[in-house]
Amino acid sequence: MAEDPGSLQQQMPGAEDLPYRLEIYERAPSEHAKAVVLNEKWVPWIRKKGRPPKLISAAQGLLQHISLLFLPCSALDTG
Amino acid sequence: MNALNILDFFIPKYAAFQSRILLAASRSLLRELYFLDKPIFLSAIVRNLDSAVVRVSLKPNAPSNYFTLLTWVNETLILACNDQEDFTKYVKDLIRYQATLLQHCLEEGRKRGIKSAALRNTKAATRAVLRDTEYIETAIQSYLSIFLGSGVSPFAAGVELGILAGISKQLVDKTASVLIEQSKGPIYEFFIKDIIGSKVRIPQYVMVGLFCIILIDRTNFNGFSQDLQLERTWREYYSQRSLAAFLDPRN
Repeated sequence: MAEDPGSLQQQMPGAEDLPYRLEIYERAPSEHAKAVVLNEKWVPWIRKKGRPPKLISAAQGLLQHISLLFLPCSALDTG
Repeated sequence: MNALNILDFFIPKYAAFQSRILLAASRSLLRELYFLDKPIFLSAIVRNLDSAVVRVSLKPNAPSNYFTLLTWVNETLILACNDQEDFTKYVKDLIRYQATLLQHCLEEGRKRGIKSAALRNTKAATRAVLRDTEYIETAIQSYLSIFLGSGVSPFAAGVELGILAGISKQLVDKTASVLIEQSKGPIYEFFIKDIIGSKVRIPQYVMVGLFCIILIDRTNFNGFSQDLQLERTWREYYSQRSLAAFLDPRN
């Protein structure tokens, strides 16, 4: 029985890898399709890679708050 | 995932970026890659652009190839403006590529659409660079040192100098305009020596530059036009008559 190509894509191991994305781009049949691949598959993917994971950014925020709590009083004294 | 691998894959495929929509998507991709890893992006793209510009300069290419590369060079130039160190490091190479590719886009026989799009894109990039007041002095010095030096062909430099002067005049901030005014002597000298004094026919597009240069200072227009007229008269006289006629005291 033939599998649904969409589900196959989702299950493919290493689907997030660069060669896989390059292949999707290469296989796009027209310039318009290639533009759609770049805009919808590549740009959000790179943007996501550029951002720190949510857990790490939350931990960074928490650490910043804690460090503010332990600031010496002289640092807060503006007068 | 590395910006280097992606750029090594995409930039050599410049010939495949023919449509406007794909070119716009590629620009978005470049911006995302820049913000992902700035140092790797800039070194990788400049290396790739360098080999691509060398390749397209070796033999005649499709006009769209020059235009695609010019768009990428201009995009990189704008992105490099985000950091002073990056800007200082890469500006000269990028300006050199820009001038070379723009000259190819404006060559005679090209379609009007590609000529105007190339000029518009380059003017927008130059405006973006000059608007950043922090590096404006570095930018102007880099532009002038390349165009007035021997970095690019005189005709390419003529067009770029025209764009530079025209845009600096249009900006609200007059820093660029003042800096160009200070270098007016070498600019005039360049135009008289390398453009008017050129032994080969001057392409029509170079007059864009000349026109914009004249716009720098209308009060000084008469002096400059007199210089041009003198040169032109002498050259026409010399080229139209034989040496014997030229030397004949009756003439």
